[in-house]
Amino acid sequence: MSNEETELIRSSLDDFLSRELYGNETEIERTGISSEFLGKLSQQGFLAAIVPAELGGSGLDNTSYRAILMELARYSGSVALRVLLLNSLVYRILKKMGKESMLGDVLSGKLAISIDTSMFSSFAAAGSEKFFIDPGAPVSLLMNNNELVLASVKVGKAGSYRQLGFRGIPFGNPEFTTIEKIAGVSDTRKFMDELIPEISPEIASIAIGMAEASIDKAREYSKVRKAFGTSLSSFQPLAFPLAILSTQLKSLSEFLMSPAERTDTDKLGIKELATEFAIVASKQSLQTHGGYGYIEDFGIEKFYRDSLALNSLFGERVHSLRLLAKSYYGEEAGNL
Amino acid sequence: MEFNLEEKYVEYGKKVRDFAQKEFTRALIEKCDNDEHYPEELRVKTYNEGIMDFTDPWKVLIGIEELCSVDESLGVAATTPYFGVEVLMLFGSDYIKEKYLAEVSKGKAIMGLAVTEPGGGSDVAGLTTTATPDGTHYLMNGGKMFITNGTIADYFVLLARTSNEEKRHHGLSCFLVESSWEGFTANKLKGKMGVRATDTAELILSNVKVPKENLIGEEGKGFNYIMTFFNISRIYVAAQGLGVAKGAINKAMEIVKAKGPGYASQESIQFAISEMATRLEAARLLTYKAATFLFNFNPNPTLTSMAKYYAAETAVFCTEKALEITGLEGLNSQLERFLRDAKILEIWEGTSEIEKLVVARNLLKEGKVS
Ligand SMILES: Cc1cc2nc3c(=O)[nH]c(=O)nc-3n(C[C@H](O)[C@H](O)[C@H](O)COP(=O)(O)OP(=O)(O)OC[C@H]3O[C@@H](n4cnc5c(N)ncnc54)[C@H](O)[C@@H]3O)c2cc1C
Repeated sequence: MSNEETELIRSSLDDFLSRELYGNETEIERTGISSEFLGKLSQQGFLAAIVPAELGGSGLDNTSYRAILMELARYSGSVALRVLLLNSLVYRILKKMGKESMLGDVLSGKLAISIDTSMFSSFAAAGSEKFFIDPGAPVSLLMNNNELVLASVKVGKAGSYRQLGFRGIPFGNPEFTTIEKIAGVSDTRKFMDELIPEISPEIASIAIGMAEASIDKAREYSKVRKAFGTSLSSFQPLAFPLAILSTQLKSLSEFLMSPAERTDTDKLGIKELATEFAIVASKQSLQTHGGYGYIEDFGIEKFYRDSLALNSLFGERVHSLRLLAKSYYGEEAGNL
Repeated sequence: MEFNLEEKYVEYGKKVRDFAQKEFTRALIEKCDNDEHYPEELRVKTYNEGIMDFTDPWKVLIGIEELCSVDESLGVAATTPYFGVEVLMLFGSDYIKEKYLAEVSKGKAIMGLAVTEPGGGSDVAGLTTTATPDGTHYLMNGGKMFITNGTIADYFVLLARTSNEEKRHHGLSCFLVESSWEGFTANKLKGKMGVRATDTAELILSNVKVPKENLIGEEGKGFNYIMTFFNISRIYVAAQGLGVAKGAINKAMEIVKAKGPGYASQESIQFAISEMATRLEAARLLTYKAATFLFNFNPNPTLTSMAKYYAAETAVFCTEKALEITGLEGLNSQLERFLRDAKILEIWEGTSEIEKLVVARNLLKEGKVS
């Protein structure tokens, strides 16, 4: 896909989002993504963006999919993460398990599946509390004796957390009264280690979308807000970092949006760069907004929280860095 | 050179830590964080148990550090009822000291300090709230923004414009304003990222009649009084930063160890721990050095601003790193709250940018560093 085509996707998506999402971002963080809005996302084909057409999906290529994630993340990290979870994770895992027949209901938003985030953890602390996405769902992708399984579950208490980020999506520590296995992935560790490079540029796309929105908002604000009789944009400690961040953003974004086939090293590497970049950019934006940046209603601090959550949600950073080093050296590396 | 704290301070620190570990229960922390609830009962207990000992500033500093190492939000909520008292102590008339300071010192009244306005906080001299002489009173009009204890304080030290001078800061004066007075309104600001146990509000002043005896010190000197106050309070903000950093590092190490020896032995994890601990140590030395100057009645604004911004940045650095190395367990622990709380330290009582400007301008004036 050419740059122009990607831009076209992003701008038509921007129209849809400015109509349907603009102004409701903070509400989503407080009350969750409504089923009505999920329905609209489904109608647009986002919930099944990378699912092949023969399975009822949109069959989009990688670049278009990343463009969608990026654009969604500019408005709401929660909505972008929801789309990523369904496509990058649930679809790929169900496919691996040969359970494509369930896709219709799941990807249309009719059937909720809870996700045990410990599937990404290589060094889980013994006895630590579970951290499930959508903890109340009747079907679950969970870790059972180091095996990733799809199970039908009965949930006693879903539990809930006050989350650092992605508050539009519920996280919790469910108590399962029954777990009935439907399918499993026999070599889970190997499967996850192969999945991580696949999903990495997609996670990076969310990070870049959030970074872009943070930088844009800081730029706008610093042009209109005044201190010491002049606009904030006059001050080097604010203007210089923003200008540099915007160039970094452009290069990361172009790398991600390029249709060129990427190696695993590049895929893993871009995720590291992008997630770290999102933290730096959103923090700078918050700081530029001064006290207003610290208040939820201004919609700035959420990008900082979401960026930090994104950095931890998909397992220990040291594990993806080890995969990156191994891929880079072509042999075991960075393991000590 | 002596780097160890005197035994009495070590013991005091332990007393405060024990208090915080007992009183800052998980239920209280979560209630305050979820509901943005101000813990009035905790304020009273903190006072009754003599946790903030204002007779000795070292005890205040160490106390704040210890409280914030358990929970910054509750730590600040428990210690800010006295916010601004130094202005009264240093510049208030006998009348003000007897009528107001005495009440605050007895734990019977809560204070606040109102400088920031909707139009700006960094540019203090640019404020627009006015206090116009009117017989035996001043008539006060304007608005204040982000004021800690805004809806719960009984008294505020409030900075307002009394005249328009060529040098803007020469036209500012400090007043003691009672929240019960007609024309005074406080609207609670909800939805802060962190420090949610603290009360924050917007104040509206509409023809508030402030008696002339409530002018603090001299007219036109308010800016200097507030800057003098900041040179004290910024040391305590630095102490908040030390506490948060310490709490975050300790929690991170606990999780890293729980993840097993295979995890704790990863060199990148160990580097992160080293870097966090080193920064904390450096920030503490700087803060204690600035405090030594201040507490010996020889304040050094350069060191104070260095300490404030460096300790704040250290708190943010450590909470970010702590989350990074603890993965999902960190996200699902009090580290996430530590992180949300830490960021305010780079904003309140002078943003990091403003502190850096203070440092550089002082240094350039002197033309050398020590
Ligand atoms: C929870 C909370 C509690 C608070 N409590 C109080 C309180 O009790 N009393 C009170 O008076 N205030 C209080 N404040 C206000 C706080 O002190 C201000 O938010 C802070 O001083 C910054 O002011 P501002 O928000 O108006 O940002 P602005 O002054 O608009 O600054 C915006 C950005 O521009 C930067 N900037 C400004 N000037 C320059 C320059 N010359 N060079 C480089 N960069 C510059 C700032 O560093 C900042 O990054 C509180 C704020 C919060 C969020």
